[in-house]
Amino acid sequence: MKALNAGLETLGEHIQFLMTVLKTSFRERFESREFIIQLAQVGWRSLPTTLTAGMFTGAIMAVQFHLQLKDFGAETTLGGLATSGTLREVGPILIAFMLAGKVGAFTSAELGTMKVTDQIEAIRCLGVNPLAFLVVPRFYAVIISSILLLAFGLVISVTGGILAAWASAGLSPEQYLLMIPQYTTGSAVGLAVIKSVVFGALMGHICCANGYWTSGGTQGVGRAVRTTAVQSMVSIVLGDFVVSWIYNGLSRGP
Amino acid sequence: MNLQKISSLPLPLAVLKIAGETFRSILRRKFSFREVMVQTYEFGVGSFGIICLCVTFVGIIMMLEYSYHMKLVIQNDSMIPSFAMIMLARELAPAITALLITSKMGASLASELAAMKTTEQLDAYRLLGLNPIDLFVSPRVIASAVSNFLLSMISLFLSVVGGLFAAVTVLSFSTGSFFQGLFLFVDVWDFVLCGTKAVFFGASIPIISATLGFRCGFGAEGVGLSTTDAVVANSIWIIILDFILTYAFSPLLS
Amino acid sequence: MIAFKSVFKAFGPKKVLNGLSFEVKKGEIYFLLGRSGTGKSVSLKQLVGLLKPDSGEIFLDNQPLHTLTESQFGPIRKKCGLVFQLPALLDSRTVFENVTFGIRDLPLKEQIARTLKILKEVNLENLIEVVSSRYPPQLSYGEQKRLALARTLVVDPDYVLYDEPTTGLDPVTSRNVHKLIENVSKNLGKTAIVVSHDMRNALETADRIAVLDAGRVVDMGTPDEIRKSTVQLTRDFLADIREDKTR
Repeated sequence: MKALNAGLETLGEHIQFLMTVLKTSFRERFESREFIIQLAQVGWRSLPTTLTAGMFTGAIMAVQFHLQLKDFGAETTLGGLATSGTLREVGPILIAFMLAGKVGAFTSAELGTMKVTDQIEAIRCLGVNPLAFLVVPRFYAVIISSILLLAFGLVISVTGGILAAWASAGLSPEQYLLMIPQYTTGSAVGLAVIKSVVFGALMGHICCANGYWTSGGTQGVGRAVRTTAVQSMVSIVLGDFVVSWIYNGLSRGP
Repeated sequence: MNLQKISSLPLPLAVLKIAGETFRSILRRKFSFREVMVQTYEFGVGSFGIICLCVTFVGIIMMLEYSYHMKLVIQNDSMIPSFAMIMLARELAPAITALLITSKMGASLASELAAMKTTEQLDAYRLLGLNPIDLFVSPRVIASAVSNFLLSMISLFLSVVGGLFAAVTVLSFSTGSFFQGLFLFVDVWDFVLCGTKAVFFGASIPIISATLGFRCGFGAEGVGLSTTDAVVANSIWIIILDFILTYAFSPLLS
Repeated sequence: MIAFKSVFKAFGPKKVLNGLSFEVKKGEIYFLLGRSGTGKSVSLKQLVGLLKPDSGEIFLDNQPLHTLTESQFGPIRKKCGLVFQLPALLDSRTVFENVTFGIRDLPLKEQIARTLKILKEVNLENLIEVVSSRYPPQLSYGEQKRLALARTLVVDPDYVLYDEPTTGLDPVTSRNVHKLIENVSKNLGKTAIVVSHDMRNALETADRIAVLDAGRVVDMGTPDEIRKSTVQLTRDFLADIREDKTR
């Protein structure tokens, strides 16, 4: 009961923070320079992580689907099914988990450090709104770069799948690729895109909120990073569930 | 243990070095059994709620996704529970459990050790003739491996419960037909793979986190960055190790 | 003129300010001296609206501050510049962008002119050549602290508030910082409030010194008056210096 209360309280604080950030972003001047710096920094720094995550997720899915399909002699369909499975479900979740660490935790560590070294109060003392100057640009930069990185990771996962199928099932890349359009429908791509957007928005909000709330010196920064990682991962799973459930319901038809 | 050397080595070598020292410390039984119990409790109970919540939803989604994919290839509904169960046991239950443990316990170990390093507590321990590896790493490696194993098994169970829920409410299975289908292809090796992954993931989380904590740089941003790096390095390693183990076990799996 | 009239402030059960009252006249260098945790920094933060008093009144040039809301503090912060204990510079921005942060909306020409003037004032002439290629982490700690001062001065505030400007610095650098505070205040005609626990430099730099204990002023006067004071805490602070001299 206590845990539920605390959870609701946290949720309330998050909603309040989100409202403030959105209000600030419409009312105050948009710091486009800070936004571009963050976009480049966050996006560029996370490319290797995304590449690795995408590659291995695709490979794992290809190996697993191969093991399950070979009993039915349906190995040739591997490319289509593994790609569809990666795009619709496992890919977005696993890659988003990696990004929660790389993008989310990093941004909240940066904001948290600024908070505990008085940089945020110094900005406020110089007559600049720290929410508008630091948080709003990071909020949008994290959202946009996460969406782009997720999409990039998913494209890379196809490469991982091709390599793993070639190594474990002896399937040539052409055979693998030819099956993709047959089984990977527009709806799979659509679901992948929707999930990328939802996960990006969740991560952008969670890392900014926890970074901005940091208190208590350098240990507080560590705590903020941890909270960001946990909250991001949990909300990614829950968001994944909600999106899939609604999407499945809609595509099944009434 | 030479902290300076650990900071100057490239990360993979530093991890190997810490892993070696931890292994030696465990073999020589230089850790306190009490601390192992305390940490097992921390790891297990601390993350229990979150893991339960997340894997149940993952189970529901996997059931829905498998029904979508298998209908494309095999026009036989009855095998879907078994396929979903295999995927959960081999991949998602251990991987998602480990990733959640990483964000909660891995990150907190890294930030704890990093804070200890910046406040020179680690040096103080060494002056007292105590090895930080014996104190903080070895007990947690054992605790994390044990609790990760148990949590993964619980996760597997709960995700199947989630799958049952989805099968009955959405996919018009009866409880009976779900359980008839559940064990069609499931083999003892699937559980072995699940357990092996859990133990390996569990053991590597404290080692990687501790290495990054020990490598923490001074200054305000040090603790935040090493916590972030611990989450990222752990997640990447888990997904790579996941692929390696899946690939190594694939001849044994049907 | 800045006036605190019986200000109270508590953080939970911990009472930090316990009826703090003092007055700072225009143009003087006023030191708030006391042990750690006696509410010195808290009073500075209340002056610029980072914290709110629980009760009591604060006036800046006869304008009440304790009734203002966050958005009304904008003009006050232009008039009262706070220099933090840590440099608190933006690490991802160049020296120039850091210095001109508070005057970003002015024309570029004006920004450059002010920057040149202020950097000379705080003895950072060596940075003039590299203002737009150097970043704060590449500077020494002393340079970072002076840069933080420059960032506050460039807005041209009437009052400059220093929060423990010499904590963690060696005695020689501390003295230089105090000399800098003195020069800046006299040359630019600023009123300075310095929070500190460094009695030696306070006696040399201050026009008036207030000694705080448990959230209120227990002693106040010019350096000469303070030297002759009979208040126990003041004597304890002074004893430290005398021992040094007899050595």
